[in-house]
Amino acid sequence: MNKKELLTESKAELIERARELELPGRSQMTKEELAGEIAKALTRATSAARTRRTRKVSATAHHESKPTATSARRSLEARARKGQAMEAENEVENGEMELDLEQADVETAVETKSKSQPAKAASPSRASRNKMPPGGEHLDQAVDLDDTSRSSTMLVKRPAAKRAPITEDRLSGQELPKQYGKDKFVLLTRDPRWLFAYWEITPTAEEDVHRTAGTDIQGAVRVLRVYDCTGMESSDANTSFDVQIHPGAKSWYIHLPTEGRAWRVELGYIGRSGRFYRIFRSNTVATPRKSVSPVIADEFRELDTDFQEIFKLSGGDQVAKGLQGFGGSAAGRKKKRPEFEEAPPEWEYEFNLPTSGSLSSRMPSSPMGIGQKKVDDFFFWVNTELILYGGTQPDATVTVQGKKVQLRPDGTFTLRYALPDGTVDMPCVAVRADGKQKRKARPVVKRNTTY
Amino acid sequence: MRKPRGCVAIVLHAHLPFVRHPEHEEFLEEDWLYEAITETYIPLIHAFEALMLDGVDFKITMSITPPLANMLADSLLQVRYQHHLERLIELAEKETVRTRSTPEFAPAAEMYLRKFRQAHETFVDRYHRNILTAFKAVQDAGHLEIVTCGATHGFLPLMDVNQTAVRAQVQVASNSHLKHFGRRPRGIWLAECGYWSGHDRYLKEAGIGFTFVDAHGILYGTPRPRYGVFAPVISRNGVAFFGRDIESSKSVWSAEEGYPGDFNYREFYRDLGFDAEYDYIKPYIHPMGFRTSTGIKYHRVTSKGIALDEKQPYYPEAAARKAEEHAGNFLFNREKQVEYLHEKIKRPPIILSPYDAELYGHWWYEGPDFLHAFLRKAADSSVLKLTTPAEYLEMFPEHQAVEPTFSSWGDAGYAGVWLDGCNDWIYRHLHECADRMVELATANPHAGGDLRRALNQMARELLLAQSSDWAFIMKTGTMVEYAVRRTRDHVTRFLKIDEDISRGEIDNEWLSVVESRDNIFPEIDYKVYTRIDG
Repeated sequence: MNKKELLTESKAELIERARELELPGRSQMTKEELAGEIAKALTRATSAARTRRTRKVSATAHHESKPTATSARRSLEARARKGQAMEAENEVENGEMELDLEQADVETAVETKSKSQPAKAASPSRASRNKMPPGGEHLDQAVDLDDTSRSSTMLVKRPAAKRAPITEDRLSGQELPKQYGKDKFVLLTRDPRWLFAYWEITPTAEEDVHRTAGTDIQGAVRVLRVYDCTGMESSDANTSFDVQIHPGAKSWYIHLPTEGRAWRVELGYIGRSGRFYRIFRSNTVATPRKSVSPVIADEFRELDTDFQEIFKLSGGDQVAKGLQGFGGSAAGRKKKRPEFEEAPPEWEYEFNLPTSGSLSSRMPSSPMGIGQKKVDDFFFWVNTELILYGGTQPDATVTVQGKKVQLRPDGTFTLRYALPDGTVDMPCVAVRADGKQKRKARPVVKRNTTY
Repeated sequence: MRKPRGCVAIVLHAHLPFVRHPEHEEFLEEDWLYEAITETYIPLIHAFEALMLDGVDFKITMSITPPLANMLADSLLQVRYQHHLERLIELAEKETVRTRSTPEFAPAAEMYLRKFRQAHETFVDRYHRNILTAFKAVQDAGHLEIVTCGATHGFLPLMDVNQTAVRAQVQVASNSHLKHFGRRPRGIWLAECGYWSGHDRYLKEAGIGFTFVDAHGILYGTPRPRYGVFAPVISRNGVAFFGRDIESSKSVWSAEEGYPGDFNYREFYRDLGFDAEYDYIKPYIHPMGFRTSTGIKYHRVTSKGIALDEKQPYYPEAAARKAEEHAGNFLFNREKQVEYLHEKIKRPPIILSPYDAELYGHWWYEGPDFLHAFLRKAADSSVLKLTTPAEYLEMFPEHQAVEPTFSSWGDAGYAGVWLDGCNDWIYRHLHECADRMVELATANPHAGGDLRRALNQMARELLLAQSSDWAFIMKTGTMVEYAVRRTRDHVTRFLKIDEDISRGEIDNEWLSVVESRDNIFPEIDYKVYTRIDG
């Protein structure tokens, strides 16, 4: 970062940088001076990094016990960091203001690391993964950054191993995993009448169920068994129904017969014998009741009639449009939808609420619909503009239509006008700087469009 | 003077997804922020300041979401906005010349130049590029209640399978809020008003006393809410829930019945960027050369259902008169509403009117003028009192105990907008990442150095992936590619760090670049993902 870039930061940010760089006398400096000193310090650090490149560092110097390759690397990085090794030649970010990436150079660290096996001490899903070796802990403290002050300064002091350049394709546009290699079955509530389930079945889980079912798996169908477990403990259920699904499906929308219940779903096969073989059991979810509560606290009971009106005033009649309001029955209202479609459901009921989905002003959307019109109609328009340009001595004064015109350093000027139908009269006057000479020009332009 | 018969609380939800691309010189989606600053945030600041200057006793509530606050506080975006605005001023200067011979457009051109210059003064000279301090000043003067939102506007009902992740959205938000506004939030705007029963415990834990739901969240609550949406209810965990008033919402939201559809108001879709001669406008549109909106618009709504090229010129003065008139009408209707409700429920009702902040100014250009006029008039009303939820709860601390129900303010009222055939694929990734995050954070209670950096960055990537904006954009069908890319990038960055950690080999250089790009929440502490019970 050069001084100019630094000056775009606030003084507080600069003081913070100066503190990190341990610049003497920083508290007395003006913003200008701070920026200058920081820029200098950064340059110094860059050349220091170049020098350091050739130095060999002992990998285990900081260790008290059980040195590992990981902690060794940490130690090297810690040293490099302390030296604030930096190198500007690998500037990756274009236009990066605050966090100009000044790459530090710690090739030595990389060398060391590449010669030894990476330690497994910090690998996940293993009990030990997170316990850094004691030496590591120690080093961590040594290199610990103050989190709160890191935003604007972290990259300046952070070293980085030199590897393949960080090209854009290593940062963006990577494909998502098709699967995560673990069994998963998750149930989500979409609304009172629809659930959404997604899953991943590992080959092991699949094999297990095949083993259990034996020959019964021949010709078995894959189903979601949907349990109404409202008010039930553990795995009990009131009723259930099955939804047959495509064998290859990885997710499904489940239409529900009733609202305001609790649901759990099992994914499995129904064998030829009719027996159900479970692969997974989902989490339990609740669906909301799309009607007013039947529960009325005792002291409010006498207000029941009133409540209907308050409900209406609250917009309840619109909320409940097409649904069970109070006392209203939904019987026969809904046409039954096929339950095996993979596509998202269409809505059999419409809310006429002003909601963000239709009306949000979130920038990417166009919610208001004011004057929004499809432009597939044929259209044609023409327009004209007038460009008036000229030149004089740079220090002369020019007016057009009585208004002063800004001249370019070479004394030329360009003005651009909308040119509507009719006559445009443009008296132009130039006056020499000493006021002793004056020139006039008067273009008159006429536009007459016929359609 | 009579005692007020009821209260009105205006709530503006100011939010934009975190969009910051230092890797590109110019990035189209960053314009969302720039447009919102010019057209919404600065005009609101100007309105608040004018009211304060005149000693008007107004009250208003705004959520300034953590992503928005992080962007407004980001020095790269601040500098970029300044450049953006300066270019706009240059264009507006040319426009005042160009429109000299067309009196029907000249007043609008003059207005833009004046407003852009004022914006520049406010942004650069007065607030040194950080307009959060402007909002904070209005807050500290007691007129503005700033509430927070889930850390990255995550839609919590679809996150419920991982309680720790839900809690983290609240905790990270609260910390970010403290950092930017000097105090913990007292209220929260749940992203999309998405409430799932039980999440109130995380609000309570963060010291958050109130939130907002759509009308049916309260109306279908248990037991029946005695006062409908005209009084808050208190949930089991002691959080107050305010329900949206539909009548007042509609009058602003609705394109059909609402004020913004008035024929005198500015037409949003007709923009100089598309109208002007190409060579002339080229320096002010996208550097790739395709036309984009500039924010300079010369036409009014004119009439319903006519083509854009039939729109008539926009007259700022006529529009301003209309906004004033509509503000009077809005106040009149609220007064009538309050009086009627007071009769009905025998107590002072509260009318809660929430809107997306960007509706005011960005979409409805005259919105800030309307709001300004309304707040000024309402402060003088003898019928109603402007209030904030916090103030209302201080005045009336006792309310009916009701459990609100799962709801959102999205289309159809639940999760359908964010869980749909076009976007449901994201949840298996979001949930997997959340589970891994919790697992790693729980297993590493004292990570330091690079491991800590890596875990902190994983938390940022997870949070960014969880923004409800991506699912929303996929659903609305515009800019889908960008939303897909963002989801993919954050998830794959998360997974790479996860993999690096598991191999015990943190890719420092790569991590540094990612840290510099996805630099939201510099203060984050991954330990917020330490598993909680339940």
